[in-house]
Amino acid sequence: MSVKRCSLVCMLALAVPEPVLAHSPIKGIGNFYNGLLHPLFVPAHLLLLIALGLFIGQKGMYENRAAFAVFLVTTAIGLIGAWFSVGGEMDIVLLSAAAIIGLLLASNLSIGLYFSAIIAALVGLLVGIDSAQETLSGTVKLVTLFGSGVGINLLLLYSMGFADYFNKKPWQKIGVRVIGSWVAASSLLVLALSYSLVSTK
Amino acid sequence: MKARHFQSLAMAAIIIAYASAASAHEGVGITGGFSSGFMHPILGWDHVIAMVAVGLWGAFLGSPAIWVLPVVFPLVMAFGGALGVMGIPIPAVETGIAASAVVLGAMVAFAVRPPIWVAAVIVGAFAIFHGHAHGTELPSAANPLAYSLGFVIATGLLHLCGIAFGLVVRWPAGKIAVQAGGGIIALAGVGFLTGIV
Repeated sequence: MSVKRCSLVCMLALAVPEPVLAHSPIKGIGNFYNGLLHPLFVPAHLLLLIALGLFIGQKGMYENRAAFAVFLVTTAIGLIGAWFSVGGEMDIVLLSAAAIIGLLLASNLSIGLYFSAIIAALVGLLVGIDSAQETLSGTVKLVTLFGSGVGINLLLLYSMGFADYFNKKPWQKIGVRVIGSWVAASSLLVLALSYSLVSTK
Repeated sequence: MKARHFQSLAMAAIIIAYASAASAHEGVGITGGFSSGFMHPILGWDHVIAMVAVGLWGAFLGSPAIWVLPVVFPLVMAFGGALGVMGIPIPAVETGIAASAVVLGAMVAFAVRPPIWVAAVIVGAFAIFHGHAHGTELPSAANPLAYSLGFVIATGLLHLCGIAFGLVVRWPAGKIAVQAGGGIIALAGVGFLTGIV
């Protein structure tokens, strides 16, 4: 092949560009990472987990370690439920929980270790159950759900650590409360929309 | 002749290489919902100046107003937004938004320092108008949750702009600059109210 022809082939090959999607949902990254990223791509999960993590971290990560332990266990139970597809449509429940926890975070209300643990347990269960992958089966489903479990717990841990670290800093501590008010406001708006859609039916 | 033919083909190939996908309906899904929500307060100048004024007034009043107002505002705005979503009308929403710029700008310009609860009530009352305007758009959003998150975050960042500017109030020249900023916001609000702007 001549140099000219070779160059022409190369240029024609360039003529079929495809966008680079480093974290697209999500071909080519494998089932584990698909599951891992699942809580990041479901806005209701993302809001709820960030709100809960910041709330627990706001009260002290070490003092509230029981809440995280309980969350870990109930997430696993929820994911087992997801394996059997026990959950239905749960967006309203998830958003209600996000609104309540967002308000608790914004008001910096102290509700005690036991209530924190109960809230963490319920959230873990809800998010776990709502992570069902109905289109998958067998080993693929198992690996994806395992990835989701890791992703859910990592997201909570990051948020907890973030808030715990900022607890010692006056301005950033306020920023955490502002995020709480954002979560609560967004959730309340979508709940209002859901209510208006139901009432107009 | 052959060389010219090759050059034409090469040029055509290079031009095609710059082609990207046509996105006729870009505003879809989570990203579309978030970006349209995020841009909604930023593209409306009446929203922008009023939100900056909230942050500016908070910084001017000092602690605790500097953080109470940005925490209270989104929550009350959500109430106004809920009214908008449910189709409950509020009279003169656009007038209320323009009036918010006039009143909040004037508060900063004249260095008014009311008790914190009075400031919170004033800001909260105007937040209902702003929330209603954003909330009315919510049902048609590509992803309502991402849209609401977008406009709430954009509103918070506009407050932050005002707070950042307001922090110069600790210096004498800075205080004059902040009060002048408040005056400009109030005048712009008058412009929106009268339809000049």
